[in-house]
Amino acid sequence: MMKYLYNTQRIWVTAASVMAICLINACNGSDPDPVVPTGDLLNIPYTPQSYTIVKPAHFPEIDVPASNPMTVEGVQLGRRLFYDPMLSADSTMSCSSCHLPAGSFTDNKAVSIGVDGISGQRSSMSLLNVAYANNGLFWDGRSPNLEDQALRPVEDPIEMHTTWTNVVEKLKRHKDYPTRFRKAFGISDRSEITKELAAKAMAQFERILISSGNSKYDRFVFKGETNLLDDEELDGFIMFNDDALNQGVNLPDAQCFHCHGGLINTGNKYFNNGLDSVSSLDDFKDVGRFIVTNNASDKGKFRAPTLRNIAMSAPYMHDGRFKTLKEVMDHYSRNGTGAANEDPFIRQIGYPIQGSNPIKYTGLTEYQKNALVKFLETLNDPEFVNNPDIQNPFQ
Amino acid sequence: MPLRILFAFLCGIVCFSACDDAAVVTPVVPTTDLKMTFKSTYDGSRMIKFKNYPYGSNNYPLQFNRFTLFLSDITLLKGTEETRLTESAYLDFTPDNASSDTSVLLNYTFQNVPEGTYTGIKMGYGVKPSDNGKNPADFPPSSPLYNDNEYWLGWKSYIFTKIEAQGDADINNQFDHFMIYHCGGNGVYKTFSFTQPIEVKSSAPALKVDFDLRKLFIMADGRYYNMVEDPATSNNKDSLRVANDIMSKFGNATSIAQ
Repeated sequence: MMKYLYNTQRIWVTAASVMAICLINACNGSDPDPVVPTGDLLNIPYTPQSYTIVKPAHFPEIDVPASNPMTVEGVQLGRRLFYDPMLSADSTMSCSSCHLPAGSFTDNKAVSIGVDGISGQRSSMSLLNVAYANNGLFWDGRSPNLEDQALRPVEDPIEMHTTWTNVVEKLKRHKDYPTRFRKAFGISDRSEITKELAAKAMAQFERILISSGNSKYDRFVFKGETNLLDDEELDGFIMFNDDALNQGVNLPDAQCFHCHGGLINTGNKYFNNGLDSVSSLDDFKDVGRFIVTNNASDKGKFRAPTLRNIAMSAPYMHDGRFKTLKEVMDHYSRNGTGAANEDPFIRQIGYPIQGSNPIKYTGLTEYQKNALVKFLETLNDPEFVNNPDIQNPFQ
Repeated sequence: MPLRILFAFLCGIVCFSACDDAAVVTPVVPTTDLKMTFKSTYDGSRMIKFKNYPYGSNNYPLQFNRFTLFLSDITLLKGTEETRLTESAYLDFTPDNASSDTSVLLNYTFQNVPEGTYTGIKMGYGVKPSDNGKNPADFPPSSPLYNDNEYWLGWKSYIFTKIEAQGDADINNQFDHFMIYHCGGNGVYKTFSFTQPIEVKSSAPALKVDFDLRKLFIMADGRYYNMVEDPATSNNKDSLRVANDIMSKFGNATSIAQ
C-alpha cells in the first residue's frame, strides 16, 4: 500500500513538473518552441545538379561566386522564395510584389509601397540581367552582391517589415521548404535553415534573369539581320551610339551609350544625370551614392540602370518622375542643370552651336527624340518576360 | 666473363647518366614578387578630383573628375630579353567606391618574376589590337577586358582612356567648359619603353609608375593643349586626331621610379 501511494505520489510530482515546465515555456513571451535538431532531413537525398545559366552567346560570361554555385535545386528554391509572400510581416508581399515579370521585374510604379502602405523613396529597379551588376546593387550601390541584397528588403521597415528570425522560423516549420533547403544546400536538419541560405537561393534565381538575346536590337547588332531596323529606329541607334561619323550621316550625338553602353546596355556606374537643379551639392533631396561613399561629390549620383526592356519598365529615374520615355528624352535634351558634379556628357547632347563660348549644344529635335524612343523599343524582349522558368511557381 | 660484361655495362650506364645530367642541368633562376604602384598626378602631386589646377597660358582653373587607362603587355626589359608581367591591366584612378576625391593608388603584385636587375620596362597604352578585336564576351570575369562598361560597341573598341575635366577658361567663376577625352580604336594604340634600372628581388621596393595629367596636355612646343578648341573626342569630326594627340603624349606623361 505504501509502495502504491509512493508510486502514485511520484507520478503526480512528475506530472506537475511537466506541466510547470510547459507553463513556464508558454509564459516565455511569444517565442515559438525551439526546433530541436534531430537530423530530420537526412533521409532525403542530397544530389544537387549543376545549373547552367542560359545566356545569349554575345553576352559576357556570368561571374558566379564560388561560395554560391548554381544548382537546379538552388534556383528552384530561390524562385519559390522570391515569389512567396511569407517573407513579409503580414504575408501579403513578396519580392515579386515590386519586381513583376510583366514590368521586366519592376512594379511600374514611381516608388514602391511596402506592407504597411508606406511609400518608399525610390522606384524598384529592373532585375533583368542583374547577374551582371558587378558594381553594387540598389540605386546607390549599397549592396555589393546579390547574396547581400536579397537580405535587405525583408527587414526594411518600409518594405517587407519583418525580421529574418521570424521568416527563418516560418521556413523551418513549413511543410515543404526544409526539404528544398536540404536538396539545395545539403543541410541535415531543418534547424540549419538560415537567412544566408535563403539569400543564396534567391541570388541563384536572380542570376537566371537574363535576356533572351532575341530582341530586335540583338538580332540587328549581333545576329546579322542588318535590314531589321526602320529608318527612324536606325537614326535612334546612330544617335545613341555616337555613330554618325562612321555611318556618314548628319545626326547629332545623344551621348546615351557613355552611361548605358557595352554589350548589355547596363552601365552599372554612378552618375548625376542632371535631374535636379541645386545651388549646392548639399541641397539634393536624395543624396544617392553619397550614402555609400560618404564622398560629397557623389551626392545626387545614382546607378545607371539597364536599358534592356526599358519601354516595359516605366516610370523612369530613381524616383519615377518621368512617366514616358519621351519625357526622359525631353529631360536629356535640356542639357543638364549645371550642378558641380553633373556628368559632362549631359551637357553635350545635340550639335555644338557654332560660335558659342563656352560651347553649347542644341539638344534634340522632336524627330530625334522620337527616333531615340523608337530605338529603345527595339530593346524590348518579350521572350524574356514570358519565359516560363521565371514565372510565379505558385500560380 | 658475364660478370665483366655486366660491370662494363653498368659503368657505361653510369657514364652516360653522368653526361646526361651535365647536359640538362640549368641554373635555377629564383623568382619573387614584383610590386607595382600606379598613381595619377598633376604636376607631380597626386591628382585630386574637383581640385583647381592652373591650366593654359592664363592659368585658368581646371578640375579633373575621371581618369581611367588600359595598359597592355607590361613587360620588363633586360637588354633584348623580355619578361612579360601581364597582358592587360585596367587602371581606374577615380572609381565609384572611392571615399574621397583623391585619386586612388593602384597596387599590383606580379608573382614569380625572375629575380635580377632589369634595364627598363615597356607598356602598351590602350588595348593591344589582338585583344581589341575581341569584346567583353570573349574574356573571363577575372580579366580586365571583361569590363563591359569600358567597351564602345559603335566603334568596336575598348575605351583606352577616359579623361574628363571641367574648366573656368574665362576665369569668371563658372566651370562651364567641359573636356571629355575618351580615346579608343587600334589607330591610337601606343607602346612606350622606359629605360630605368629595376631591381627584382624580395627586398626591393615597389616599382612606381606615375601618369602626370599636366604632361599629357603639354604640346611638343611647350604650349598647353587647347582644351577649349578641342574639348572632346566625342561629337567631334576630328575625334581620331584628338585621341591620337592624347595617346601619343602618354610616353612623356609617364615616369618610372623604384
